[in-house]
Amino acid sequence: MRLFRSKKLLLSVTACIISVLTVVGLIFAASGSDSQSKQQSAEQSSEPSTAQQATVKPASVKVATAGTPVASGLPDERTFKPLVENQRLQLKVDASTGHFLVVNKQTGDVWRSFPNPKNWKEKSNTAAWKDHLASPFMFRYVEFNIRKDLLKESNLIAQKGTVSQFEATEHGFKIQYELPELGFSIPVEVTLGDDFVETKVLSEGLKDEKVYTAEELKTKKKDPLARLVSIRLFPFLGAQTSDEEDGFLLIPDGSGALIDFKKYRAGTQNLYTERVYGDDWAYSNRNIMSERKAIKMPFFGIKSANQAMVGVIREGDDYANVVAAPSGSFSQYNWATAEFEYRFKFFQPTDTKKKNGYLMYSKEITKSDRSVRYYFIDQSEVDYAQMADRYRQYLIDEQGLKPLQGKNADMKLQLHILGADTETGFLWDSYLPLTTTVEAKEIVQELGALGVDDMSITYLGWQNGGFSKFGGAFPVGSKIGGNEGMQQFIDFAHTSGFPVYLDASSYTFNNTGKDGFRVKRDGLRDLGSSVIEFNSWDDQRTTFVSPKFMQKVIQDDLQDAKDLMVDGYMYGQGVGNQLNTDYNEDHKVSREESMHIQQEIMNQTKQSLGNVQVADGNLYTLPYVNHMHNMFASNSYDLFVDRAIPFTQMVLHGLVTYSFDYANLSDDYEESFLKGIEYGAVPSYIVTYAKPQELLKSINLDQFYSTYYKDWIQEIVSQYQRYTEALGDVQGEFIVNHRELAHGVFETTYAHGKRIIVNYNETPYNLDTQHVVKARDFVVMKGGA
Amino acid sequence: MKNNHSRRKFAIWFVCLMTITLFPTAAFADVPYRTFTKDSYGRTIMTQPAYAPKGVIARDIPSLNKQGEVSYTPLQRPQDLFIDRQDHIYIADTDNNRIIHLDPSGELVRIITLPESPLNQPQGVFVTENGDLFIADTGNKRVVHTDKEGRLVQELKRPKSSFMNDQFVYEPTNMVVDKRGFIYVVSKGSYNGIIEFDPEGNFLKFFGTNKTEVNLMDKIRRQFYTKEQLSRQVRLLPVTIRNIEIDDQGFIYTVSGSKSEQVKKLNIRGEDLWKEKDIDFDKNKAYRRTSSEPIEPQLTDVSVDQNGNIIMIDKSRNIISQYDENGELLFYWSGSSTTGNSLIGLTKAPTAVATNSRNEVFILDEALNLVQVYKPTEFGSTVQAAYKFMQDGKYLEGEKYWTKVLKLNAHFSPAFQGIAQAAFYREDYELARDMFKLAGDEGGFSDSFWQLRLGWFQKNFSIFANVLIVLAVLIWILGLLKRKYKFRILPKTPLLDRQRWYQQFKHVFYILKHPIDGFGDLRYRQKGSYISALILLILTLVMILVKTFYSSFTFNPVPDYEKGASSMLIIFMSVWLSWVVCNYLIGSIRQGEARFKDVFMGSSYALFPVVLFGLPLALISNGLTLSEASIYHSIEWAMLLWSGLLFFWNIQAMQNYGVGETVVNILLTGVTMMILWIMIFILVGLSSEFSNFIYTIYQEVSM
Repeated sequence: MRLFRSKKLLLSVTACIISVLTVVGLIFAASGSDSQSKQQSAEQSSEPSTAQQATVKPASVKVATAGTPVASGLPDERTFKPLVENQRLQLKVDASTGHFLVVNKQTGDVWRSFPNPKNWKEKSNTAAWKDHLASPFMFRYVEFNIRKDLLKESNLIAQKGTVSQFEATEHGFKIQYELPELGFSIPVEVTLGDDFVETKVLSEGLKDEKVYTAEELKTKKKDPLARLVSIRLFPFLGAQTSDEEDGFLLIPDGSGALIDFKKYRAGTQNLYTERVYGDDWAYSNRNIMSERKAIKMPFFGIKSANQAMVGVIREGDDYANVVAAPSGSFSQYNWATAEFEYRFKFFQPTDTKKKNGYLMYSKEITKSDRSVRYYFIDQSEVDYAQMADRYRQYLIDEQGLKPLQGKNADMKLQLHILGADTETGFLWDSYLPLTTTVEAKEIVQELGALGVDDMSITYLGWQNGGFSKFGGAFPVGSKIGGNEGMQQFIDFAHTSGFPVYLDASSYTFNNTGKDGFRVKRDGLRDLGSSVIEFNSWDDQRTTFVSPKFMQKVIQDDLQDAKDLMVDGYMYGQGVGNQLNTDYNEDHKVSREESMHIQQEIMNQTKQSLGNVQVADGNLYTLPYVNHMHNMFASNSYDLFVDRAIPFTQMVLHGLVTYSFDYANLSDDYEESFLKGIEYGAVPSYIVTYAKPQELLKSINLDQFYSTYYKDWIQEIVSQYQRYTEALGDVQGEFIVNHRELAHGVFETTYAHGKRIIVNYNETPYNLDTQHVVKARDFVVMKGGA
Repeated sequence: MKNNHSRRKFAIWFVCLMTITLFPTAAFADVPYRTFTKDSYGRTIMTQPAYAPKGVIARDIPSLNKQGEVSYTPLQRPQDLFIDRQDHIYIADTDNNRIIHLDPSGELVRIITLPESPLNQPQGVFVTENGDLFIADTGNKRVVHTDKEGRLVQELKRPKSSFMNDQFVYEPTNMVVDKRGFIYVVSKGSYNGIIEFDPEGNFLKFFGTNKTEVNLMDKIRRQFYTKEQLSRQVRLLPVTIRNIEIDDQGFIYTVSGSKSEQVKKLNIRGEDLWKEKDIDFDKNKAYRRTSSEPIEPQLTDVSVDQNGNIIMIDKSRNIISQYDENGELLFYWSGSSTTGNSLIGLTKAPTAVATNSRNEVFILDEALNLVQVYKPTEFGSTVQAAYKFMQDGKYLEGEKYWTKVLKLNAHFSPAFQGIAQAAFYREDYELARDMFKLAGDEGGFSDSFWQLRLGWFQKNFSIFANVLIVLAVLIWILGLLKRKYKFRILPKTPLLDRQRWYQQFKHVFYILKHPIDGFGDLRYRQKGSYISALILLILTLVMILVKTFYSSFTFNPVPDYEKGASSMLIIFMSVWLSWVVCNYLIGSIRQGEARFKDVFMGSSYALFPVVLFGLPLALISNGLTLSEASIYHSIEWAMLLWSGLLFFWNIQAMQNYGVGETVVNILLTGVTMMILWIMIFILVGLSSEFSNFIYTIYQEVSM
């Protein structure tokens, strides 16, 4: 008994001591960090007194007095001082706010980093938005200690921010903004180029943690832990009102779309905001993914009267959004800008089943330089065609795209052949061959005999398990011919001069466990450590493969592909289409690194096999590919977007060839054909040798509505001939103009003068006294006519 | 199969979004929704869109305000949409107390407000052939009849009639007018049905009342409750009618929230033409797998197009479906906007639907305050034309269209049905048979097979008869020879005969002839053993497989892809095993004398009739049609009955029971099996929760 009692005493004493120690320890820890931060602030305060030396260009440098908050209201242009200039442009700046003007020395056109004060109406903007409009930047932040998932939007003026440093540089200036309340520090750099201005948020010097002094901690309640989530830098550069209704906003939605300046527009919540290169699947658990088409190329633009600007996101494009809003929503201005993201929303699960949890923003900040270049177009008649021109020039100069040469500039029929799939059977799955290599040869011969003399063949479903079995791609399925059969087919195709590609987008997933793939070890994981998977129609769980692992598998398989003498791979999905972060401990990859991995994969494939194609690929894949498949031919049909234009097609024509959805699977065969002609595409079909009833056996093939080649052979030949007649000789030319002649009638003009007029209406259209465009048809006008 | 819950880590997606980005070749379809249909097996098939979004109208109504400036007022919670013969569009703009009249291109013609007697919350609008307007002025509890210019002609207020008691609430929400001028009014919450007025405005009668829906609980209550208790229950009333529509031929369609009478097609006498058909308007499910709980469908409105096809919208699940005039499902799609972006083609709260003379579909959305317009695609109009031709009996034209449909979408199995019917009509019975099989129609398959068989017999009768005669002669000769020379037909198998299990296996034939003795022998004279029982069990399983794979389609209408299901075998094995175990247990409690081995052997020997008859049954089914179904089914039943009897005698003999005791034993075994399975389910559930719990703790501790 006595022993027991003393044991109890012992326990309670130990508990007390431990708790006391813990409390003491916490106090020490807190004071420790205090002293650390005190040291830091002491260091910093010793710095700003060293004045920044102005460099070469004549400029009156103004060192802003740190501490005076930036005044509200649009800046007065007359107080701007010229800073730098070159042959075409001159940069004027207001050092107290960082706002600048770019003046075209020949035409006198002015571009402002703030909305055009002309037609400014006090009553048309709310008080909050007045501050947004006048600030050099808008930003969003989250307060982790108050609400982890709620974003607050603010700007420099509303936060009573200050300019703490201003320094003129060789081609522009550097400015540092401080937000004392939140403790944020934003360094910005603006440089002037030949015909552009580049604005950048630097990563060095970007600070978003407030350091509290000891007294503040004692008096204040707890630290709200405010952290930066996103910044919009000079969001109203070039913004205009709709009073004159003489312009539009260009957004990268689908193939490109225009929001016209309209004085009256229904709805007050019209906003276009989309992530460049699409949503990140690593944040998709229980998060809302966008319904719109993903942005493939990070551009946007504004045209107003005779001025037009194209904005290109250069650095940090993988962590940026494009945001645009017409007048009447939020403010009276039409504006389009880029939004740089630093933290992302994700679902943090709190149980093993990943069902319960909460949404919050990532603790870690993703730091990198973020910059946007605004190209100014100074032609008298400016429209989206000229904007496309400038953007194309940028792609050639800065992104390494080259005009099509030689054989690549021929009109080729894109013939995709579906090889095989797996049929779930009674006790075991069986292989379902749909087109063996011998049968593929027959199809190609038949097409050739009927008049298709140039085609590019892509084999899908060639993998060992067929179309819907991911993992263990080589050797080629034996029932369709195996490696030997494929090699013979490729040899045969080469004798006719046709290249053969293999579909390699299947490396993105794995549901067989082959290639040494273990779901728990090599699957793509999100921040909450959940492996990203999905269920396909037949209840198969398919896992996303971690990018680094995928790279290794592709590298290992490249030799096998080379042995077959295949001309290249067609990539898509996880290589070129999606950009996902991976939080897998073994293969950790950021979104940016993921992009580099994809570029490496494409480069290696190009070196090894010679050619690369991509399905619905992002901008960074374009320097490596010669053909883009599954390109968007329209926009996302937002109600407030007025016109869909072939902007991406105008930019890429002559640099890569492209094709849209398969013609035999399209929603409307005739309309897709006319679209292809209008947008300068090449025809593409997917065929099988097997009859359609065979495809019914596998539930994954139900998206292939009709692929039996005998059903479509006549259409293939006739469409190919019509395409060749219309576009065969302009594959290597740029599209120089595109416009709407009448409702439903569009004209596309190529570099050497060839014009193609397409009429979508049910009634014929009179082009001029001699030419009539038939209903649902097109007409080709030779150059110079 | 399925791993433990705790091991499974998966992300929950919008399935539809995944299918869009899923396969390398499926890019984002141009139309922002997926269209589906169902085949005759009930399987959901994806198709190209039948209707593509054309645009949006009525987003803003311009009006001149007092200063003469144009101001725009959007619709506010509009509730009804009507399109007249000239394609003019009328919208009941409820919260703005007005009716908007637009021309076919969506431009404003006039705004009707009836200044001399202002409208209040008008929820319904109807325009007759001569241009007269009928407005359901819900807030003022009346129906207003104006002429073409908008001058008030008559008001239909709450009728005074002996049929209506004081509690009757008269709040008209919609109405239709037939060719004679009779007015059918739907009143909110009225369970008496539709109120019918004559052209002068006098109340005539109630029309098209729904049945009261009584579920099982109500029936039980009615049996057992006293009068007083019943009177205090909420009255069971017929389901109220939500909306009404009339087509060119004068048929009236009502939409209700009931489970069995969701849409009724009423003739002038109020009879539901679809009563016998028992059409399930709930067949459409938006996605193959819904991650959230199922939402109750809420059919809101119907409209009949030029071809007689019926479009209906479901507001709560945001599904738009199209049926043909016989109630066959054509298409359905779910065009719901999930993230709040208003995209053309996606609706948020579809509240009314109408079609115009070009078969374009107009859907009024009360949340987005606009009208979405859809036009039929090439695919959609081809399917509709094909159905129409088949309805009219023009099979040959119909076949052409169906062939075109199949070319556009080879998976569209209703097309197989159409082609099959056309082929049958053309007397191409081979094609018809194959097509019926693909379409899942065993009746059609059987009919075509009958024709083929008849043809075959007619062609080959002489050969057939000759062969039969020769065979008969041969057998007679053989019999004679056998008697004379005494040789064996089947060779002796001394090696096999020496095997014990073979002898025991052959004992099964003895059981067939002498069941009770045979079963007794199994036990007491060691005529059976585990091995022979297992052989028989395996043979039974094989026979079940044979029956599935080799039975004719007529009697086994299962599509090819489903034949691979192993679930059937597993179910059979688990039922049989649990029967054996429970039987033994019950037997041992109730003075039975059988050991476990005996019960096991006996139960498997009793399955032998299935083995014996399985293969022949499957084979002859290939030669029978539905008209001879009785033969097939009677043999099947005989087989099962014999097997059942053998089970009975097995128990009787093994456990040494009398007849009554055997019956009791069987009943108790059944109950025990139920209990056993309930316990298994509970155990599985509990243990998975338990292991989940342990795993969670382990994770917490190890972190």
